[in-house]
Amino acid sequence: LALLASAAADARPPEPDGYRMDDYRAPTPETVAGAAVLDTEAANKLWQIGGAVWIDVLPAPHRPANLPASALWAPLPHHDIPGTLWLPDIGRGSLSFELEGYFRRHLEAATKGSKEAPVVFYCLADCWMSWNAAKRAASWGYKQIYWYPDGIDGWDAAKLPTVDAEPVP
Amino acid sequence: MGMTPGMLGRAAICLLLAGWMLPGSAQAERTEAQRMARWADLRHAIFGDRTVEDAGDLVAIDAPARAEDAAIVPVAIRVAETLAPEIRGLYLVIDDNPSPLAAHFVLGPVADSREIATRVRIDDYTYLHAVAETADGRLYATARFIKAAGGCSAPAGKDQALALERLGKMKLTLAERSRPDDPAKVKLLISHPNNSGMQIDQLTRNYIPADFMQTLDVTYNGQVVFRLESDIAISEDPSFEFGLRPADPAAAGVIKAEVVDSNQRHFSQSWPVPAAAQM
Repeated sequence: LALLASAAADARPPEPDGYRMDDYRAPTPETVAGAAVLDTEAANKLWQIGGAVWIDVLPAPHRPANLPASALWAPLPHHDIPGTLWLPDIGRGSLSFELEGYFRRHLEAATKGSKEAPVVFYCLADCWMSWNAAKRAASWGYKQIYWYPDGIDGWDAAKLPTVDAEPVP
Repeated sequence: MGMTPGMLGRAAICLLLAGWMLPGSAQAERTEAQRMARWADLRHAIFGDRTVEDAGDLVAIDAPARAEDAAIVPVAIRVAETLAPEIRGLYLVIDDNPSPLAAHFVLGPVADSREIATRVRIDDYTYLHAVAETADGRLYATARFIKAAGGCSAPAGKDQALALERLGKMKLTLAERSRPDDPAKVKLLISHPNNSGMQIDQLTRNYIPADFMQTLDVTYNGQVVFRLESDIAISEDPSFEFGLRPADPAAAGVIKAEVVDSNQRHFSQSWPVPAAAQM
């Protein structure tokens, strides 16, 4: 029985040393170095208290510049936890120079330059992008990083409020 | 998603998850009512206030219920024998793709409008809609649900440098006609990355700019088989299967394909079609 229980627990992979580079939609570890993990109840409590920076890292559809003006462009609407900054793509395993600059700039602005400010990263359940982003922010010296692995899926399942969201340009 | 009936409609659509960029996304299922509302919006955007009738058995979509590879999903539109002679246009809509109108075929006098097939990128579990348009402007729609996700952002299957070397090269295959009067079955393959603009370059870690086929004109002896208007939903190396009804099957002819892409590159190629009796 003990063996069976440990086998079930092992379905969650161990924490890798580096970042997850691809195949982002897959079971994530229980923990991430430098960040505290929130379940939906804890996330809701933190949200009720207020004062934390909430960041959704899910990639966003962007209209190709050369799509003709007459083409029908109609991405499905996106929703987030109210008050969230939607910073698409910052949870990739390796960031381009521009993308890293975008991440640092918005994180610094949202935390008003304080490394002590609470910051929550999320996307979907079983998504390594929020895991990567939390790990990266912690590596930059942010002291109060939270990772909400169930993300908007967990939030929706608990029927908590959401708002329509647009990515931060 | 735990929707109450009062929340349905437009507001409900806004609560949907948009996990569409990520392969294998398994977010909360959208309700049937949300999917119907999405189609109503798209139908209005594409066809305005025109009446769109339920096609019943007249139009069908052939596609796998679950795609093996969301970046290359084979889809065929079939039109019943009775309706086919009246059909001048075929639309393929992938409801939940960010660019939903995947293909619009305008059929010419030598097309066999009973069937046309291609391969598309599908971004999320979605309905596909095929709409057939008659010469006098009637519209017949049919739907099919498909389980596929992540097709638009899936990495290119081929090395980009190699893909550019072969850019615009085409291959055409003619199936043998069992009877001289049968339409010639044609398979056309076009070398083109058809980049969606949503794929990441693994080296630079930036998005690869969209680069896609905008129009494809296929003619036979100068007569139109079809013109296709398309964009980023068509798969890398666009592929088409269609039928051709030469006015005189006993005579040989030339089939020609011309492509214009989003960078305004033009490609064209021609192939001889032997007379049916010789095949």
